[in-house]
Amino acid sequence: MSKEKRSNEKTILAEKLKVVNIGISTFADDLRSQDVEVVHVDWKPPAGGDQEMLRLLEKLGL
Amino acid sequence: MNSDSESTCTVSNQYGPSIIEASSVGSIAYSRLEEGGKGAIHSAFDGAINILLNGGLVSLVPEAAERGPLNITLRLPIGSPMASSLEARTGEKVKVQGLTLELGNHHRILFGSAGIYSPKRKFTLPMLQENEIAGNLEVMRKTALLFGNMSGLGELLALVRPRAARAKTGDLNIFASAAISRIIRLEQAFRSEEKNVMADAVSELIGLGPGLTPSSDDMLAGLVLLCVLYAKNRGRMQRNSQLIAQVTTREAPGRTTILSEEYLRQAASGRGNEPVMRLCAALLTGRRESVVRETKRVLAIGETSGTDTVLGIVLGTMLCMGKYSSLAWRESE
Amino acid sequence: MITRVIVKKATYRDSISLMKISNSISNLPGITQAAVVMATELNRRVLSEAGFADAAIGRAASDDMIVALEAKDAASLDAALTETERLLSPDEKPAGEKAPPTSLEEALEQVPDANLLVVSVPGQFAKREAMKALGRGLNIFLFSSNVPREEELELKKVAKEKGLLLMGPDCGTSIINHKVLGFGNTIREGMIGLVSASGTGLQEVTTLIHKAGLGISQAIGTGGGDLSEEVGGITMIQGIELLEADKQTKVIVLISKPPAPGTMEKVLEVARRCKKPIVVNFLGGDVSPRMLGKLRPANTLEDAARVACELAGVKPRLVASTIPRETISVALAEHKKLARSQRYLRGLFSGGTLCYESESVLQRLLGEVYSNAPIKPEYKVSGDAPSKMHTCIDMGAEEFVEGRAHPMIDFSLRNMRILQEARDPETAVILIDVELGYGSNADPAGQLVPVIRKAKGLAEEAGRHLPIVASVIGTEGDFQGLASQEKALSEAGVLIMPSNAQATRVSALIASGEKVEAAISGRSD
Repeated sequence: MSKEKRSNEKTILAEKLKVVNIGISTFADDLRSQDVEVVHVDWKPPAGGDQEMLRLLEKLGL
Repeated sequence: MNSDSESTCTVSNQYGPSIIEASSVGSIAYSRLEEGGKGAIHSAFDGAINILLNGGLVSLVPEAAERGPLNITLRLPIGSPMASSLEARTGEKVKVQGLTLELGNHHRILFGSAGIYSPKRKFTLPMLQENEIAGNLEVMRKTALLFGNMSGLGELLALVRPRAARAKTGDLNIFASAAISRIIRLEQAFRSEEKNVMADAVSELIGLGPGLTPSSDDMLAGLVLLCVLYAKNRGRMQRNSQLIAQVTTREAPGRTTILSEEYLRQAASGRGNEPVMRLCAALLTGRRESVVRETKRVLAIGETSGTDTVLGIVLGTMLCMGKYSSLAWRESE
Repeated sequence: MITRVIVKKATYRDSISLMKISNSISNLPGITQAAVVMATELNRRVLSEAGFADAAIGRAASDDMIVALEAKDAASLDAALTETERLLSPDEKPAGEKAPPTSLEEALEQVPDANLLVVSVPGQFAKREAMKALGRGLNIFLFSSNVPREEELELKKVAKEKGLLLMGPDCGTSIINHKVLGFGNTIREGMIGLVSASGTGLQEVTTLIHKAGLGISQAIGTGGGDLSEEVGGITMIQGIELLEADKQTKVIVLISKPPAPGTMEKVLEVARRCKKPIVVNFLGGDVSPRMLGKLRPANTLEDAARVACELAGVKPRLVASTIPRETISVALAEHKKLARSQRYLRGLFSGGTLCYESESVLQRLLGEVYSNAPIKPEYKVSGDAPSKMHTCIDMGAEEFVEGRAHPMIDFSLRNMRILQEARDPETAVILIDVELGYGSNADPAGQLVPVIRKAKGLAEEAGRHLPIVASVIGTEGDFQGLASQEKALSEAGVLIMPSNAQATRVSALIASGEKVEAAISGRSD
């Protein structure tokens, strides 16, 4: 299902946020604590890429 | 399914087994794998899966965790909990055939192209003078006090030096309190060079405190490892080090968890996980900056394990250099 | 006191879980002591000696687990025992709970009308996820860094075409519809809208607006690379257009480090055409009057907040660019207490933009300022070398973050550096920034106070007085508690200033005394 928006139609600034979170889960937790509807995706890299995720997670203290 | 040299972290489909590559295998783990045969999962956690195989333990850990003599580091996405990612449960069967370790029906670990981790017990750099080591030791002790976890025996770090912060022994947790007199006895036993006296003292320091590897075990492992490495590199204190190593190996079985027993055995043979080996090398041959860096790396291990290990290294160093910890002095206050 | 010991056979938990369980149980009402340990002979003996009688009973083996509890009364003990059993039972999912989605497609089955993707996967995978999301009509908050510029440009072109907002890559902060994405503070609702290429810059300006009694409509992060030559400010321009159309927004603020020249032209052209008043803060970067037109310039973040409030037609309550007379006296008094060797300012920052802003302010006041992220390349120093003369260090730079958490969360590196500076006889004053809000450390003051005390102590021992100045970015709505954080820092002897620019000026004053006093008194920079 593809939705297309034109710039004079409703933008995200007018809508209630409905979020998909991919990656670090604390972002989803923080959004939930602000009463935002959020679905967290338990993401795994397609293949390889571990070093980068490690760096990113370490950056966030996780 | 192949395993070409391009990093294949994990390949799976719903019809067949998933294949995971090991990036490193510790030398002791490798000798157990080489024998082939059957084993079983002892315990499975987010951070490690422990397997009993051919009379000993091997530990599957994620690549981000440390390399070690018993560790097999796996190329898995960081953040995936080991136990659930590999559907591992205590008691599940394990089989080793050729260069593959099979976990249950679904997962295979290929270790054929893994590097073997076998740290040298002889340091690449020459050992420092005693006063330089003493300087490094103090830096290590203070770093541990600042950044360590004090729920095990870590608080004793504050008491081992005469001019250290005045902590009353009454404030210590029950395990740290119980440990003080036992450590004093160990120090005396070490100097006595008498096997039986050492055996008594060591046996009183196995299995004490919190943790899957109890605090006193981590402390003892750090102490014994340091003594063995010190003797090997300095060419002194050989008899004392040999004795405490032998005695530890003999007294550990039955007194503590299987996991901890294994680590003590490894320490007695001068083997430890990479961060601990690096820390000992930094302490005895390196600059202050590396001591700080490696200390913090070790402190990050487990909960109290890292801090307790550092305590052991501090005590071991003092013993090898013939210095007295001020614990005895403290106890009389 | 009643005690009880439970033995769980062959129950394995890793040390971290054991500690968590132990702490949870210790905190239950009525529990005076709790220990969760392996049932080794020695542990059982020690527990027994400590009064836990049943520890010695039974044939527990070393691989079993003991929970030893001491409670004030039977009721607390029973409640604790039930809770303990619950904590120790293996995790079980309640029946019927859906498995969490493992891909964007699966997630969209659960929330088909999702309108925002928050993505923080490693840089090399970011484009793939983002492109999929744009194809499904989602806006994006892209936290990931290390996304190649060409990919950023490609993504932003697609987003623009579809009328969607791509905030990022390398975007740490946004506040959309009053919800914080990533790192950010709790800010009052109001009429000032912001578009920013800097995360901590956005945090400081929004918190200052809040403290002045006003509020924000939207705070749109563009990511650090938006104003590069290649990307051409696509998101910032989109942001301006969105805010122009947004009914709630009456005033717009643009924040960034100095943009690439071609991009600056493009962005300011759009800004000049905008019907709403716009404040432009390019952090000390010079903007020619021709390009500004009727746009209002601001050289510092604090100034941007002040001008925005004025444009909103409400006289700001608290934002002032002038430092009060009393503070100037305090600073001069601190200067007099310094030893002769103490001549230099040492700034240690967790926010890169704040480091940059401080350098920009200090250049005018003190001249040369060295940094690992300098404004002028000839003043570059390495992050792990000791400080040289006046030095500002961005502790969030790559060389520090490798292998550890960002300094807004993990204070250990900056703490060590504080002690290093304390030991340096040439250090006259230490300047730091502290960020509260979502994403940041749960207790920054708790992390800093012991180190600050130690630092001052070290200096004292060597016969030196060591002033420490801080700006605290936060509002009373942030979970860390702004008041308690400031109180704790204050009690440790930290001089707290309302903004990074002011903290910087005061620090310069402390370091150099009357030499800079004239430049500071009564003038907004």
